[in-house]
Amino acid sequence: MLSSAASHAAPMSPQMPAHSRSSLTLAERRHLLRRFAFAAIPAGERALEGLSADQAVTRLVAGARSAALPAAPAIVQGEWRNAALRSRGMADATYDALRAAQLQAARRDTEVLRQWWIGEMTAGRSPLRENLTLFFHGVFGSTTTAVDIPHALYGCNALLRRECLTTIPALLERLVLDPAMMMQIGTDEHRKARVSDRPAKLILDYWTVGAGQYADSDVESLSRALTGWRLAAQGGDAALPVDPSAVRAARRTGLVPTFDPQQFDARPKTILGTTSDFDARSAIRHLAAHPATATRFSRELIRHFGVEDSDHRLAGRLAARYASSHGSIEAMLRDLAMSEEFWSPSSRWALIKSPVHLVVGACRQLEMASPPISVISGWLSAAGQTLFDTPNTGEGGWPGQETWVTPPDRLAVRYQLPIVLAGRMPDLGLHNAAAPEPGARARVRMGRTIERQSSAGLFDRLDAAPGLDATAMTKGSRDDIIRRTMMTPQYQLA
Amino acid sequence: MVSISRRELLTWFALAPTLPRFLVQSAHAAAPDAAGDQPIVVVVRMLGGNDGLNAVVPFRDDRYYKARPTIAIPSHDVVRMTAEHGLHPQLIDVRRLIDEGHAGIVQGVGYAQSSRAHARATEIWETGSTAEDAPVHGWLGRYLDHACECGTSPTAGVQFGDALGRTLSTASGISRSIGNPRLLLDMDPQVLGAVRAATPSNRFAYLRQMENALGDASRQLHRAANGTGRRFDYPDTSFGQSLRWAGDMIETGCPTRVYYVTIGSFDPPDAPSFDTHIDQVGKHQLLFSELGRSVRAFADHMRRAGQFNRVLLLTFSDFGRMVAENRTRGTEHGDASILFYVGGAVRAGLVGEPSDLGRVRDGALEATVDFRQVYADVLEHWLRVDPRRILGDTHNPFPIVKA
Repeated sequence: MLSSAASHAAPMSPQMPAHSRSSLTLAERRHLLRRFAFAAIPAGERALEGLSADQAVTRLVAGARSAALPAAPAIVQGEWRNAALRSRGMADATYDALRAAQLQAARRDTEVLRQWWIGEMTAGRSPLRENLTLFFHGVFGSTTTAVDIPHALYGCNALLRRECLTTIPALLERLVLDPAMMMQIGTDEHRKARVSDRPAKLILDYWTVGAGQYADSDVESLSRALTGWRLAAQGGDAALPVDPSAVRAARRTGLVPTFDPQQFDARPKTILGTTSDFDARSAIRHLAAHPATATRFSRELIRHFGVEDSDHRLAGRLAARYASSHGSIEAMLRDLAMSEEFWSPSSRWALIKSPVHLVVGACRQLEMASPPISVISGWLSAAGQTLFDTPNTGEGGWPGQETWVTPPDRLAVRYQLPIVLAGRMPDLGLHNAAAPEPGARARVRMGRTIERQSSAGLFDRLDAAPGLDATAMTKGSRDDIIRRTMMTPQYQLA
Repeated sequence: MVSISRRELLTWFALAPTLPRFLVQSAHAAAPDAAGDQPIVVVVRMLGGNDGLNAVVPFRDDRYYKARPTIAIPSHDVVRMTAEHGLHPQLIDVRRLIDEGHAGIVQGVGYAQSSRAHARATEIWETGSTAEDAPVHGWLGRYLDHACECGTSPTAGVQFGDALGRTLSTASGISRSIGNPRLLLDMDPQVLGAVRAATPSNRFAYLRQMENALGDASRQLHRAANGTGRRFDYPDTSFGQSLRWAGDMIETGCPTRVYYVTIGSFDPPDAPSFDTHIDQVGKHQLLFSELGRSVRAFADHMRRAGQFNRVLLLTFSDFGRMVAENRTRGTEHGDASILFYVGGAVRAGLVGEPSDLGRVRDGALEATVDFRQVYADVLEHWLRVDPRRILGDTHNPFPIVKA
């Protein structure tokens, strides 16, 4: 081992790797915060001063655990009731009108929910917790066409937030009976008689072991294990007048997962070599314990946190940790942050920020007290990351990295960030536009301590990847500095 | 005397979009692009499967009116073309273009055992192949790759839309999609691609590449912003304005050889598309009017700009629709349909055999012309390449280009 003087080595080429030193340099703390907490900001950097990588993760995780959970937005408080329940003999026109009004309200409330979450990410107490919630949202995915009930979307979001630092098996077991996920994968009415294989396939492909790890017979067995559940009203729905031949949405009486033994296929099932009388929960526990599930979540974490691991050595170590810690998320995060790979030069500035990461990071860097959230939400969609609407009908989440800037117009949308932060919605439609007018340049309303920064200080806060000419970038007003810095490839990286 | 190359002049121009017009024109006049007299194809995708039977109406045929009690076009509304056939009333502009000798409609176009699934049918039309294992790249993408001699221009193919469709997909990566020209115009070229040191990261290299691509497209659009398209009656719709941009790019000498624009949309779900399962009449009113006005404006624009003789606009759609209407005042997926084409050097008129209402396969019309025969004509007589090089098989060209 080298002497302690090694801790003063240059950040990009430490003689002694960061993960084994007693304290992280400023550049290293910034690297950690960029990946774990959306952005490196002075308060965060100070909080990790003098800590090793191990201690820093402990500090961040403790912060995430102790921060109070946000209160639910008003629109999803109380029990959900189906305003377009179809009773026997209801005229088509009556139902169509009720349903149209219901969907319109759902669209409006889903947007309220998106903005609520953006608010929590930009200004909430625990960026790590929100980052992990976003990570799991990306893994499990959802679409607002399948889950057209904001109460359900919120319930799932709150579940991911609550469970994001427990264990993967515990999370999976809750998700399999989460109303939104049941609607998303189609187990919200999974009867014995009409078993569809789609939910089982989705769970195998995207939640657990992954494609190529199972046979058709496993799909069939899992499909049978998932039977018996449906969503119903609190206390059952026998009293409600429902037309049994109506479409699913018109018959949905509530969002309480309800087990009906009559509809459960109780025969033995063989899943991945084990025969048992599996039900939904025991089947998912069984799948969660499979090594391929450990590998899946290891790789997903590595991808989300932007670590280069082309030979999958880190993934192998994280999967081993998953096995020895019963899938502890904290244990895997700690191993990731203490790995050689995380600190290696090839992992530095190797993450193309997701649109959420980009805008949330910017709001945090600029300490914006009231970011223009509705504009941000619209811009996120244009940039390819509509919250609650993951691509490919909710399967497999956002692919990330290069896809965020492909085709190149996506990069153009990202370069509109300074306009968005100033609260103006850029013209994103394809309409009869005259040549652009310079117009009045809007101002970004940043925090007071940032306002007092020198030009060089502001540029440093923006924390772009190396390569920009600081002298050229810091000319002009603060808005010029922000605009110029954010419209660079360097600013897209974390 | 300081000599300024045309390239430098154009770069300046890109930096200063308000440069006096005469300077711009002289920049273009200084040395026309290598592509300056090359043929151009504009592909128009009619999204969702266009019902040919309500576009070219067999208004003397009782079987047509029997099959479509609520959605048939009344014979007195039809824009008459022949003793038997006439156009949808909103296609009046297409009729005028035909009269002027600058447009045509191929009837009964499709292929044997036509697919009625959107994704598969689109794949067949876009790749020009019915093989189970469809080619990875599109029929015009393969042309750009192998036969157009358009070098490494990063904008040899331009599609207006969020993602590049199959038609323009190339092996060499010389096609681009442009989601929003306005956004690219807003790019400040002085910021874009300013000289910077590299960041040691693979991802940086990729970002830099995307930024360069953005710069190329942005420069083309700054140039195109000086086109005269806004003087013509393009509708203020996504399709109309995409076509206007294509026209402006052609007018201002952009090196793009194939453009791709889409009419109709699935997003939001209630947006009108040609997938007219429900309430077809209203959707066709909107879409045919948009189509007619747009191609009329495009033709006028190209004619005035002196470019009409090098432009061929060609439509395609997933499939035609069933002969009989359904219970929701619409039509279900069918087989053969029609195809529109517009240009300065086309064989005008209603061409090809109309499908026979008496000869249907599972309720839909049979093709009388294979769509690859039309592609073969475009390749051989318009783009001047051997169609076999692009299509693989031999298809007897169906003439739509003037001999």
